Amino acid sequence: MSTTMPWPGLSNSGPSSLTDRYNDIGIIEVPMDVSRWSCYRIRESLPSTTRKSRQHAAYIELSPDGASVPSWLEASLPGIERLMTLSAGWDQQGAPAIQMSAIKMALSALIEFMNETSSAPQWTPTPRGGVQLDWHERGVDLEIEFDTNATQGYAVFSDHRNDELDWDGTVAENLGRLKSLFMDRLNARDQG
Amino acid sequence: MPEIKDDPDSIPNPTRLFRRIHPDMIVMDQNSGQRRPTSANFSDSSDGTPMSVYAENIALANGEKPEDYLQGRWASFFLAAVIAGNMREHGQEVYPDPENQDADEVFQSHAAVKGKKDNKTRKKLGEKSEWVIPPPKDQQK
Repeated sequence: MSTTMPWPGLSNSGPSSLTDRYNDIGIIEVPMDVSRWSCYRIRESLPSTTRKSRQHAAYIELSPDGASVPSWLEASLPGIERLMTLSAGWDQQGAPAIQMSAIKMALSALIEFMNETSSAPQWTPTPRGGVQLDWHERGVDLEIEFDTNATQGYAVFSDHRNDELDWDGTVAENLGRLKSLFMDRLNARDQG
Repeated sequence: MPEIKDDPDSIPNPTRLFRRIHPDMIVMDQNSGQRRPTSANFSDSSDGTPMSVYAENIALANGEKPEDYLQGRWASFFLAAVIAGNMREHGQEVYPDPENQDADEVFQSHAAVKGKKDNKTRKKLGEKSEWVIPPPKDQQK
């Protein structure tokens, strides 16, 4: 699988944005020095110069302050952008638009446990306006749902080699497991 | 009104239950080398009503074909199936539900899958699903 997809304007020298039609605003600042992941934060405000119209009012801005954007983050941008274009009723059954809060929650969680060579997630919508991240590779299945009614993600993991290693629970209570998983197995570094 | 219960007489365990799949709710499974519906497809409706499916045995008896479920506003969707017995193994009740459909589409095979669908259950149901009308190859990563 290709883990890197180009996003116009995403560079190492300055912020990049995703825009869509909703009047919901968020800025994601991502420190690119992985030793300073803890510096990551989300700002709710938006510089007035970027508030051009309601058609382009919702966006995520990535403000790398270091050397490089991790491939999983860059590979995530098209998926996030696609989610942001889904308007209310996108599933033909009354599903709400995908909430920026869910996207931000997901990015916040990823920053907590991913490293710079982690495998990129697949971003998909949920019928309640949340997002789901999937990894199905290297003999494992991992799904994490970020529901709009929850304060954090809920993960379900299974290992094809040994179902006794299966687990599920919140991201917070499984942070150590997730860090190990992305260090040892879900890592693009080792994929041929 | 009496509560509707699981009905294995009308929908026996081997019956395939067809479920529409939104094109954005499909992921690549590199373990199997194929695309598959995300587990979120196997949720109750956003209004809280049980998950809608179409029971193949009733469909056959009424001349309904799988492609009939992907007409009009559903034209961009695909179709997957889970066996009724798999649903029941995961605590779901399966029963015919022809009354609860949108007015613009009426299928005698419409059925409901009622029961708690937590993340783990949805994942299991997704893993059990098989394509009936899959996305075309050129849409597969």
